[in-house]
Amino acid sequence: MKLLKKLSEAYAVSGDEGGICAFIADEIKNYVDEIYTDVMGNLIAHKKGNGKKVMYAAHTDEIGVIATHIDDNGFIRFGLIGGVNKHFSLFQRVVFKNGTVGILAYEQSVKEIKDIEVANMYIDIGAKSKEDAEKSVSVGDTAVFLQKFEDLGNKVIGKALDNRIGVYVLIKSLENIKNSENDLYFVFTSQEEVGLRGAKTAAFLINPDYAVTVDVTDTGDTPNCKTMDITLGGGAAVKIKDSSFIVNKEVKEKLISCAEKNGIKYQLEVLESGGTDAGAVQLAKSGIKTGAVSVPVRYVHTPCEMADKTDIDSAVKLISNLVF
Amino acid sequence: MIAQNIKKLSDLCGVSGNEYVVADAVKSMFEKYCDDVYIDAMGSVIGIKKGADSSKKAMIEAHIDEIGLMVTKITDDGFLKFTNIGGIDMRILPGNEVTVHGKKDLFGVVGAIAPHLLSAEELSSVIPKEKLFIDVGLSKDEAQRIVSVGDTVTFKSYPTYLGKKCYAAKSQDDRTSICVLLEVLKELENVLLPFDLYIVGAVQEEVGLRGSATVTYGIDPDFAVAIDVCHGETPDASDSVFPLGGGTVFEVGPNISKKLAKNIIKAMDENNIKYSIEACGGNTGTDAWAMQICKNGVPTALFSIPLRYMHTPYETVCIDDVKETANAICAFLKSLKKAGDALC
Amino acid sequence: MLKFLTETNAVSGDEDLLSMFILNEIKPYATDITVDSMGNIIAFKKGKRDSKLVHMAAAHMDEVGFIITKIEENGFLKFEEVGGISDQILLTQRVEIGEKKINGIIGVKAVHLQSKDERKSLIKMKNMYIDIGAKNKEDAQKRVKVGDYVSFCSKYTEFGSGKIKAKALDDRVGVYTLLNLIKDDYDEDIYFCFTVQEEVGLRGAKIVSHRLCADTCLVLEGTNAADVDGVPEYKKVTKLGDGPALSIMDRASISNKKYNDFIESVAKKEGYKYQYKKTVMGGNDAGSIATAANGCATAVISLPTRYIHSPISVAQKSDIDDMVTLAKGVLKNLHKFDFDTKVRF
Repeated sequence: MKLLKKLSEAYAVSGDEGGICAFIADEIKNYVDEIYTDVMGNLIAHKKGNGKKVMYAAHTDEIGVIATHIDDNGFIRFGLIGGVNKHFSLFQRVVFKNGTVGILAYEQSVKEIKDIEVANMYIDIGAKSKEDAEKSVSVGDTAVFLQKFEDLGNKVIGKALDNRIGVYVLIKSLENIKNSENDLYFVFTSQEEVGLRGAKTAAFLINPDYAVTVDVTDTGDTPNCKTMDITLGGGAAVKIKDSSFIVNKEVKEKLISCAEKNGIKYQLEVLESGGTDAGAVQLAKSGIKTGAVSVPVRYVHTPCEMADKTDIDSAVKLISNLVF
Repeated sequence: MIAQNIKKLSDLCGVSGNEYVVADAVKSMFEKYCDDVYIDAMGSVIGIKKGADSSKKAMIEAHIDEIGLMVTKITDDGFLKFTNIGGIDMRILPGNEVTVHGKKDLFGVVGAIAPHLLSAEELSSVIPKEKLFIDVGLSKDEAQRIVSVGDTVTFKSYPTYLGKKCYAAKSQDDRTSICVLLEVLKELENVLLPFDLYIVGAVQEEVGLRGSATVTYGIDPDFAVAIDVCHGETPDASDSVFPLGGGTVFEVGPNISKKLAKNIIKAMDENNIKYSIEACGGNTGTDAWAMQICKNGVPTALFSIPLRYMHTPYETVCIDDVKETANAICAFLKSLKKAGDALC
Repeated sequence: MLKFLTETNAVSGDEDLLSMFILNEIKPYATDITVDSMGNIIAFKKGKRDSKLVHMAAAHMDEVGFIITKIEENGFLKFEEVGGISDQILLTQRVEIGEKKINGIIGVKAVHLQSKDERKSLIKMKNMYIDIGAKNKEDAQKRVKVGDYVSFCSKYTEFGSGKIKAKALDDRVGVYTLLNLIKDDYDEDIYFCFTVQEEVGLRGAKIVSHRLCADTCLVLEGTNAADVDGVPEYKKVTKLGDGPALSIMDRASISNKKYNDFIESVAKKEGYKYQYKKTVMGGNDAGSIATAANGCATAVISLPTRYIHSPISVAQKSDIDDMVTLAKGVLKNLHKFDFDTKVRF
């Protein structure tokens, strides 16, 4: 779990994935033939083979905040990057790329917490004045949640498990795959959290015969939660649909038969709202047969996402054994 | 022929993303008139009717998917929880019959707790989506043998004619437009067009105009015509509605190529086609919206057939409007001496 | 020039009039001109040297407006918006309809005839109508038809201290800038693109950028200025007079960091004025262009404009000059910058 800890604690807000790409490249360069980044910030790794062209994708970016204004007293106004829940982020610590730490607070003029708008919130980095603040933060600088990764034994807690788990699954799968019949592309995509953008251009560039994306999904196993037949520890999830995507039948059957043949625990996922890279990939060019594997995660898009190690292992096994 | 096709097609079940049965049926129906028919990576059906000059391509399109439900969970008592695929007014569901497409088709009903057991307040309000369930009359164990999470569910309707001309059935949106495609193919059976004509039954319209985007990218036509449904006139709606039996509806606005529109309207006028014009200031919410901006851009037009009770088990259309839409498209295609005439 | 550009009507989907004018203007300066199936103008200008990269500069031609949806029996016209327009600014606006520029007014019954509740509430667009003084439906049909486009009618006016008022500054100021830029010579090959249908979903730019597979694109836009009464300092996203605005990110795209740094370096070296847009809201053609084909490094330079998407948009003349200067500086120096974003490991 050392690798997952490093990935979880890394900084890679949407649009600034360069750092984590360099880290991933270092981890996998011995397993692939070619590896490079593109203009959108995707990291593309190619492991050559003679068979069908298959693309695996997991996004590297995470949600965060961006400084939009620094006032005379050194308080920082901000905007959201991706699906940050403003209520969940109250009084959370955030960290800028250069290590500056701040707190997300809100104006006392707001009487009820439910009435909070982002415009009423600010980041307090403990600065004395505008000049003092500007020594560490400029308008346009971005920050992510500050959260230590915890290993609970069976489970793990951390920030950005969405989608460092997916990244972890692809890295581990690459280690496992010795020789593949397939011409393999492992793509670590950018800007998923702001609209599935990196996956769109990567799929266009690669134009594979098949694609499988790896991301996290919600669960339905917490007290009085919404109906969803996904549990932590229930295995890797084979996605049937979400709001951006409906699985291709051929790829779905391939995933299920691979799981059954190899004794991999799996569950079927219907996600009512939320999208994933698979939605963008399948629509590239004249259409790509696409599937998606999800790792169940509780409390997605909070600084305290929780996952089960056995589910992560199941996903690794599933991707490692998949052949098209 | 329209009457037969409209029944045959609307009886088929194919919720967005699971159109396989419909695609196979449509493929064999196209094959009678086309030189080649194939199914693409997303599952859309594409028929090609060769013309004099194969370097030019025209495309006419309708979508084959329908709205429906999807099983999200089987409860401990064997009831099925579900979500919607495509836009459904959940208020219409209680008391309706459905077909659950598991390992085999199962009959089911959307249950509603009897009024005797509800408070006055509960009785006078809408049943929330989370409280709805499908009863297939099985225990959990029995249900699990046939049904999985992710299986689709369609409306079960008992199709009927209202009067002589109006047909009420599920999934007329947009199978009725597939009937238009077939009617056009039949009319043009012995006509050699100056370009190849691509006939498309696209998937996944109801969940975001997805199939048409990839089909159009693959074909890259010189111009395209989409066919979908619009709202029919009812006593409780007056804006953007059109009377059943009033002919076809032709769209104008940013989504529609002005040149294509000019030439289609000219052909309709010359052939005394009964039509109305509908103007839309932006997103028409149809495949035409996706098709227009595929690849380097495709001049696109849109016909609509007035339909009452959209996205319910009894979508109602007038057979005459279906015929008139086919007549309009044939008149336009026949008016073209070469593909370029469509855009001059 | 800007007067003519803003007073020409070009609602999304109906850009032909403006397009004809632009084609005429750029003909002497472009190496090659393509008008695509949607009406986008793609003007290629050969550079002094061979460029390895495909560079693009883009502004959209279209503006927000309306479209006629129905002619009532009594001759009044129902309409809907084309692009995003607030219901708040519509009442008693002068409008022009269709190619013949039929005059109309967005009508509302006199306040005397409204109930107490009606007076307090916002009147919705679907309850408004356009009055062209027609006797009845038949009379109206002689002058307008369903599907005719409707524009605000607003004279270009100079006022205050170096300010102008006009409709459609978003994005005629971008068009104005491009028209200026194309007259000059550059080292690199550049595609100057005048796009359609930005206001209804960044649609024209999508197919242009797909066609060109551009490596870089500079988008020229109009953006919100909020330096007005009642807005706290931190919500003043841009200010009039502080120069053109660079974007970091908005809802449609994240500007390419290298491109922004490059623009800043040019501006700092030459002493050009600029400001950063302090919000992540909004969106423009860069959203379509950045993710077209294999992806494209985009940056945005926008003119701060008060009351955008209304007939009375207000801008500072000096900002417009500064925008042209900055954009030209960027294009002039394109050859000096290494846009290579492909890092090999």
